[in-house]
Amino acid sequence: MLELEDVHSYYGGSHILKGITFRVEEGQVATILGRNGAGKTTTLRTIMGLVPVTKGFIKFNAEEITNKKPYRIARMGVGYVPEERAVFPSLSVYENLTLPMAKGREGLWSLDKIYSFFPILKSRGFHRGSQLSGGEQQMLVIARILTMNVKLIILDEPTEGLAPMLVREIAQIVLELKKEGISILLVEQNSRFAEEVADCHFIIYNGRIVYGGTNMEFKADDKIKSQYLGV
Amino acid sequence: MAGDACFNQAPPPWLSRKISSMNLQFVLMQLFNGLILGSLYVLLALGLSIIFGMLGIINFAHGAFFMLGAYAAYTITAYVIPDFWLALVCVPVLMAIFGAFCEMVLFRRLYELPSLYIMLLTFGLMLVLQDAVRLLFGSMGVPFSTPKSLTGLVNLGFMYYPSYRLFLIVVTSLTACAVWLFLSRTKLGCIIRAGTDNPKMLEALGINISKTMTLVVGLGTGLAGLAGVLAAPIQNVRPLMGMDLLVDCFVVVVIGGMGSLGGSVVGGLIVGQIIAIGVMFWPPMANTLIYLFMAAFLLVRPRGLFGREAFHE
Repeated sequence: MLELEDVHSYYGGSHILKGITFRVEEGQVATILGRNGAGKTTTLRTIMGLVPVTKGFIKFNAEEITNKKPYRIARMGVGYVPEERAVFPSLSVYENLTLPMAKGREGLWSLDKIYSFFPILKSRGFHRGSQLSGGEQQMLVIARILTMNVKLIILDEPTEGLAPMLVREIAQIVLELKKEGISILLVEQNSRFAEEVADCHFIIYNGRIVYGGTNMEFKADDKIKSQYLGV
Repeated sequence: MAGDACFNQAPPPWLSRKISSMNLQFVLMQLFNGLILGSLYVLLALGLSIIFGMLGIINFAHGAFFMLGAYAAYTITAYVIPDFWLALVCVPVLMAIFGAFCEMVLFRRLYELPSLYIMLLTFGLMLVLQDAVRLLFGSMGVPFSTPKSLTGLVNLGFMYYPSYRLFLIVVTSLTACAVWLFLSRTKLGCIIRAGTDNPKMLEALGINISKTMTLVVGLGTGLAGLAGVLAAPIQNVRPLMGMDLLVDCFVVVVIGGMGSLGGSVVGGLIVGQIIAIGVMFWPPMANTLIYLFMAAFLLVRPRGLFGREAFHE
């Protein structure tokens, strides 16, 4: 589904990714764990084409997407939910939600289905995006990529700063999407959330992937957790 | 300076008789003149704002685009067909095409570099356009008369007002409304507004922003061209006419809030009125007044009227 091979990239003049290699299989939920500054967000931005790759390659559905334009990668079926500020404050909630929709481009979920999962987006449709609470904005951003024809969803710390109830809600959505066969790659600090939803985990340390394992293996491996995550 | 250009014509005889004592009619007249200047600012600041939002740059060539619009109108009326109405329709379209051309041929090459480079490019473009016009038409400026059908005064009930100036107010209001409708009601407008918030995110949602960028620069340049045609009969058509107005427009955009479209409209009208009121009391200070106002305003509200706090991060 998604394959990274020895990917290097720079951000703001410094060498952040120093050879990232991992793959996510179809229908899998994979997490990238690691300390702050290890290169988690840069990995996601690099996959999305927002940070140029200087060496190595990225493949999506067996097709090379290295250094393609972000809009092309998105149209191939990669939905990206960044860490922050992804709601357009000048747009209404409805406009935010339907922005990726275009004639001839089928969405993963219909608006009705989205509204049944996120009723708040319907009742507050005419509010400005910036008037929603942090949790509601996160729901909006996740819902928005479901109006695209996504096959792989990339989530950057979806539960950061959210109340436990909202974290549960996001976990349910992730599991529902997984049930539908969507692959998900997520960066997470909250390892309890990660262990609940994921099939496999990768640990990134100083710009390299230093660990990869299934959820069962990872749960049992306290040594690796304390070595790289400080848990 | 732009204010002077707008007001340095001698007042009509019926007005000069009364000008010694500032009466209500004079005040109203000035407020209307402020509205005129304000509407020109609105047209320019709207374009400046959408370009700033989408490309993340200050377009220094915007004043030159305005000037080019005025000279294009002069060229059409003096050498092709002496019809102001034809110029009014053609010039904005031609300028929009010219702007889109600049984006595709010049700006686009520099998007990957830090935005300073592209700002330097627009600065250079401004100098090139100004000097090209100076070479072709001379630095003294060219005569441009009010279209025949719009000479004379209109009785507004409470005062007489030049019909051309009234026409200018009507056209700019209609244009501002049309731009507002386009931006608020169409899908493309929605994409442009989203682009002024966060163009990178827009791309990550599968939207090809390079086409949108061409359109935005074209639209902004077209509006500057329209302002140029409209200003031609009331301002001196000269190579540097856009320079002064551009500096005032920066004040408009800063007061309105960087990147805010509503802010450009309100800011434009406010700055127009400040100059007009300043001229009533102490003409030499009128233009300085807007900078004082801006400084005071920014102390109270650093992000401008409708600017967002997070915008400059």
